[in-house]
Amino acid sequence: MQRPSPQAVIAASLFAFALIAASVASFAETPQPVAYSHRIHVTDNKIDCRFCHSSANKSASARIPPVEKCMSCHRVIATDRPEIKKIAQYWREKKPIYWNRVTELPDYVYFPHMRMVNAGVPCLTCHPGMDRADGAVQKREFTMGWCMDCHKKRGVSIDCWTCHI
Amino acid sequence: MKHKWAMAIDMDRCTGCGACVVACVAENNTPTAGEEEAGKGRLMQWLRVSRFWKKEGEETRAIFVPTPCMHCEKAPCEIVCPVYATYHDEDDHLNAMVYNRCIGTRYCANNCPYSVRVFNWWPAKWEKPLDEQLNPDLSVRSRGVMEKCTYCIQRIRRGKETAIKEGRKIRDGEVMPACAQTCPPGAIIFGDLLDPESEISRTVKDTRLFKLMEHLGTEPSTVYLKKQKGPGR
Repeated sequence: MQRPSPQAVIAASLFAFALIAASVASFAETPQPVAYSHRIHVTDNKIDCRFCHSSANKSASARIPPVEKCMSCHRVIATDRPEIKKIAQYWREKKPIYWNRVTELPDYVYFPHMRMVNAGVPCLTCHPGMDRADGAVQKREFTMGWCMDCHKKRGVSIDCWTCHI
Repeated sequence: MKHKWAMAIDMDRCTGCGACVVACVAENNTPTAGEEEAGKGRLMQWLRVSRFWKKEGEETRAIFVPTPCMHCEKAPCEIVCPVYATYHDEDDHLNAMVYNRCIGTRYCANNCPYSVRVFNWWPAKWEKPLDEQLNPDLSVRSRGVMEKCTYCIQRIRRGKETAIKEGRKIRDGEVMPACAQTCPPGAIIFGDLLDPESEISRTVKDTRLFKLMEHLGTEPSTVYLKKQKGPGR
């Protein structure tokens, strides 16, 4: 076999570096309209994920809480902070907060949160480090092999139609 | 939890209204092909109502045959797929189709004696606000894949999920595909054959029962009921 030319090696390594850089960049925090911190709420104040993401055990989507839910606490808690004032502004204007989406699966995957939550899979299994993140960050790449590994380990169905319908 | 889902279509009750076709299109995010494409044999429907004319003495009558996927136990489509995009679902005894695995050889459609598999020829456009009516429980397929009736698998899954959550078995009539739900004369009966008490189990004992192209030995799960007249009956 002929050895690859040095240019090809450099090009390939540059490409590999670009791939790694891209994958690292994809784990960066997405900017949000309000600097919400998961760490303060989950780790410091011990609020359960499902208090805000209230339909995680009921529907396919875990749901983003409405402004009302934020205000139910923040009418009295930390009202002088600038970020809370922003939320109060949304509340007064009766406008929703347009959060930027962090985790999204392709359309050919039907992933219902309820099925996982009701089976007793902790939220942090798929969203590791979310309890300590300032903001929202996706640390896990949701590839099919990774899903399959977990399904095999737990003895759950790996039938194609479990997720692809 | 094992099931054997089956469907019985009562042709003595069917009026050929086409409500089942509309319900199927709405439930399963099926794009509409249009008249011109349908004329070329590119009709995008998982369920079609075939019409036949029958002469009875002086009178000519129409016979309507609603034809969804037969979900054959020995399906001719499965054995020819080169990428195993269509396979037999062991839990539900359904003829499964995985869209994101399909490479569009259309071999399965050529081998299907009932011609119920359809090919998605064009990228579907869901212009606003039409995209709001798409069913979120189901993928919106792109072009280049084979499509077919799934007995509304998303509804079956939802029924199973609810049953598991409440720690019971699926009740008869709890899971129903869109066509059976909408049929005005109730000509489509759907249920689990492994449940001896279910309506479908009673229906398949009916003497009017027959299967389409029974001689091929595909053992379809969709069966038909029609009162036969004439000699030998």
